Amino acid sequence: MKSGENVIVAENVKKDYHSDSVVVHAVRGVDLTIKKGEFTAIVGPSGSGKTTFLNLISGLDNPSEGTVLLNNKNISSMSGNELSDFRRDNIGFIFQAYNLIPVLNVEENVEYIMMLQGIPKEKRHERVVEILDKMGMKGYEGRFPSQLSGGQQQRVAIARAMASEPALILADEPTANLDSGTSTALLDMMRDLNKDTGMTFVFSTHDQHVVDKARRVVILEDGKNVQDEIKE
Amino acid sequence: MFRVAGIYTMQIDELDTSAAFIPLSQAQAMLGLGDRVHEIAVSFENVQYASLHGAEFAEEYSIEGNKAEPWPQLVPQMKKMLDLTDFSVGITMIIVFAVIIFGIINTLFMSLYERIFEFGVLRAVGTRAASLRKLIVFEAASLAVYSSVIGLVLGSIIIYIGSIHGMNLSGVEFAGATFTEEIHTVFRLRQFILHPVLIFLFTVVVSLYPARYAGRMSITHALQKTL
Repeated sequence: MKSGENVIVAENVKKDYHSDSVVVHAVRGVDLTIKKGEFTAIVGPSGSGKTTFLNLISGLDNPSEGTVLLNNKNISSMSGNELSDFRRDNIGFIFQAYNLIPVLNVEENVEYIMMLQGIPKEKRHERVVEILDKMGMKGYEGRFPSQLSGGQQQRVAIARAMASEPALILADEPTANLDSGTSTALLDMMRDLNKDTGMTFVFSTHDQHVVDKARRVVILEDGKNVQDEIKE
Repeated sequence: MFRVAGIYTMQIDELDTSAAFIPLSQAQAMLGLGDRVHEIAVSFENVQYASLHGAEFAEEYSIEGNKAEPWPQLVPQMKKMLDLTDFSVGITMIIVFAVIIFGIINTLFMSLYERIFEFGVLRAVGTRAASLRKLIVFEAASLAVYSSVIGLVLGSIIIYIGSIHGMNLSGVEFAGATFTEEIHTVFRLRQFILHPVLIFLFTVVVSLYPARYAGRMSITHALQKTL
C-alpha cells in the first residue's frame, strides 16, 4: 500500500445498543477516512463514542448501519474467522491496561501474533529481539508482565502490536494509566516508529499529551465527528 | 448330659443365646440320624466363586433327595442387604459424579470469568474462536490428567496403608452376620483405570460448555471499556 492510500474508510457508521427497552445511540453516523501513515488522535469526552468507534473500525464489533472499509475490504461482511485472520494480519492493538498475557513472558507475548501467523520460531525470535531493542526493552525477554513497570508493560504492548508489521495500529487511551513523563516518552517513540515504518496510528484519547503529539485530531461528540483538524 | 468345654462368642446374640456345639456323633445319636447329617455347609475361599458358581454347585449336588442351595437363597436378607448396598453405592456414585461435574463446570467458569479480559485480548489480536475453544478444552483435559495422577498417587498410598493395617470392624453385625476379622483394602485395577478415564472424559465433555461460551462471547464485552 502506497503512502496516501486509504487505510480506513468509515461511511455513515452508526452503532446502537439495546438494553431492555432503551436504545443507546453510541455512534450516530461517523464519516472518516484515514490514510496510510497518519498519526491520528480521536478525541472526545467520556461517552462520546471514541472506544465504540475504534471497536467498529477494527472489526471487534459490527456497525448497526454504515460500512467500514479497512485496506479497501468491507469488514462488516466478513465471517468470524476471516475477521480474526484480518485483525491478526492487519491491525495491532494497544490497550489502556496493557493487557499482556500474565502467564507469558515478554518474548512470548510479543511473538504470540507471529505464532498465530505460522512464522517459524527462528524468524520470530529475530523479530522479537529487533522490536524489543527498538522499544528499549532489550534484555527483558524472559521477564513476566508482573515484573515490569506500567511504562515497560506498555512498551511491550506496543512491541506486540507492531511485531507482525500491521498496516494499522489502534490504541485505546494508551497513556491513561501512565505518568506524564512516561506518556511523553512513549508517544515520542510511537511517533518515531510512525515516521520510520510508515505504519498508521489511530488513538482514542482525552489526554492532552497525545493530542499535542498527533498530526491529525478528530473530535467526536455525542457519537458524531464534529471537527477534523490536520496539523501542519 | 454334656459337660461345657468352652464358650464360643459369635457376636450374634441370637446364636450366642440359642446355639450349642456338640460332637457330630453324639448329635446323630441323640437325634436318631444314624450316620446322616441334615445340613452340610460348604465355605468357598473365594467369595466371588460362590457368587458366580453357586447355582451350578446347587444343581450338581441337588440329587438323591438332597437339596443344595447357594448362600443367597439360604440367607436372602444378606443378599438383599448387599444388593441394597450396591444400589446405595451406585446412587452415591451418581451424586458424587454430579457434584464433580458441577464442580468442574464451576471451576472452569470461574477460571474463564477471571481471565475473560485475557481471552478478549487473544480474540482481538486474531485468535480464532475455534482456537480459543480448543485452548479451554485442552486446559481442562490437562487439569483432569494432573488431578487424576495426584488422586491415583494419594489413593494408592491410602490403599497401601489400608492393606497393611486394615479396619477393625469385629463385633459389627451386618444382616445377621458379624465381622470377625479386620477388613483390608485391596488394589482393584478397574478403579485405577475406569475412574480416571471417566473423570477425564467427564471433564472434557463438561469443558465443551465453557469453551462454547468463550468462543461465542462478544470481544468488546470481554474487553469492556478498553478496545
